[in-house]
Amino acid sequence: MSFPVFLTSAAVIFVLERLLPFIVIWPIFLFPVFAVILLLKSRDLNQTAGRLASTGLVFDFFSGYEFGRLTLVLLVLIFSIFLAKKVLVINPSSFLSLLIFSVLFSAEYLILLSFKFSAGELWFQLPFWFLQCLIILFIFTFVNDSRKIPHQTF
Amino acid sequence: MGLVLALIGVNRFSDNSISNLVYQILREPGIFFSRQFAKASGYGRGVFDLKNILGENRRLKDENAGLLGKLTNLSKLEKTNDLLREQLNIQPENERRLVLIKIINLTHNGAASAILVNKGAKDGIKKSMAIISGGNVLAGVVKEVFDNSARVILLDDPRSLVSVRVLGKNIVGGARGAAGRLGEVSLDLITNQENLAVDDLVTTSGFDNLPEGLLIGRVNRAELSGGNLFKAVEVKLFFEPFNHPELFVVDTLNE
Repeated sequence: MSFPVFLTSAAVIFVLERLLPFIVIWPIFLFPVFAVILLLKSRDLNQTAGRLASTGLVFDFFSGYEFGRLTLVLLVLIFSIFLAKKVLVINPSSFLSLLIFSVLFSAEYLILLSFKFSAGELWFQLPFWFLQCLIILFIFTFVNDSRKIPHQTF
Repeated sequence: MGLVLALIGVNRFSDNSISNLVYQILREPGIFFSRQFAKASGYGRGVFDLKNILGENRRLKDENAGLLGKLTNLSKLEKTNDLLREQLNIQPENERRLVLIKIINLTHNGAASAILVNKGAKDGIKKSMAIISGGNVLAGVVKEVFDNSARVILLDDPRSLVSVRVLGKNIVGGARGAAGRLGEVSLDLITNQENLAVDDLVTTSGFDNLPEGLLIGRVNRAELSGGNLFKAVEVKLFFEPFNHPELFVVDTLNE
């Protein structure tokens, strides 16, 4: 994902995260899901981590927690994904693998951010994570695939 | 990455100077967008929730008729109350100053339910003050105060815990927000012996820093749990952040 596309996606997600709570009653997790999928799909984790941490600062001011907490959680998440990529086989081109890991790492992000999750609450949130991971993954796959279609030449 | 950590460090050790600056800059655009989003929410929810709105409208009409009846008795009671206070020489209730505030940002996700408002330390806002919407409905409590803004955690935030009373019954407990359960809180410490029923009204008890008698919500689930000492009780909150771009801070003057 090029930097302008990354910035545009982050800006769109920022606006949607502010707008959607006024329209729907279910919890919105667009930014963590976006960050996790981006990190899982990334070939150059260093570069993606730097971009995400800087973008995270903007989201941090509006996270509902004291400034700095979201960014620190994001850094822990980046480290976890870095370790997971070393130890586990995460195939960035497999939709199912990405879906499972994005749900798992989004859960890690929320647990670290709130420190208040019980097992019951996590199960309650699962359908919402799953749905939002699915939607963002579809968008990612669609954008990537449409960029791969070669131009027709005559 | 180093720069990001340095910024967080500077903010922490300089009394939120960076947060103050950012919130000051984004105050007016934030208020504008929150108001527009609140307008959009009316249309959006109307489309998604038409069936419930029709049912709710019918229920509200019935409730309104009942309340009008009670209102006629209330004015008589108020007069009698004033007369008795005068005769028994009882001090008047604490005066409350209300400060109008506007929402700059609403965070409503599984990990946090909070708002950022446009008044701060310079306007006399202090930590732990109550935030209400029209009709004395408690919205949340001030958690963090900046120079010109403040962060308020709403009742359904997992960090929120408020002491409450069930109206008309001698039942007191704690209303706790739960992660991801937006629009409702669970009541702690309600024993299985307590006579609590669905549709009971819940208000603040006044045992913590909050004023007594602020409306919180209505019990929508009260179940006996077999081996446990306590009931599983859920309360549907009256406050809906989407419909209230403007709120009030309660500043209790005589306390």
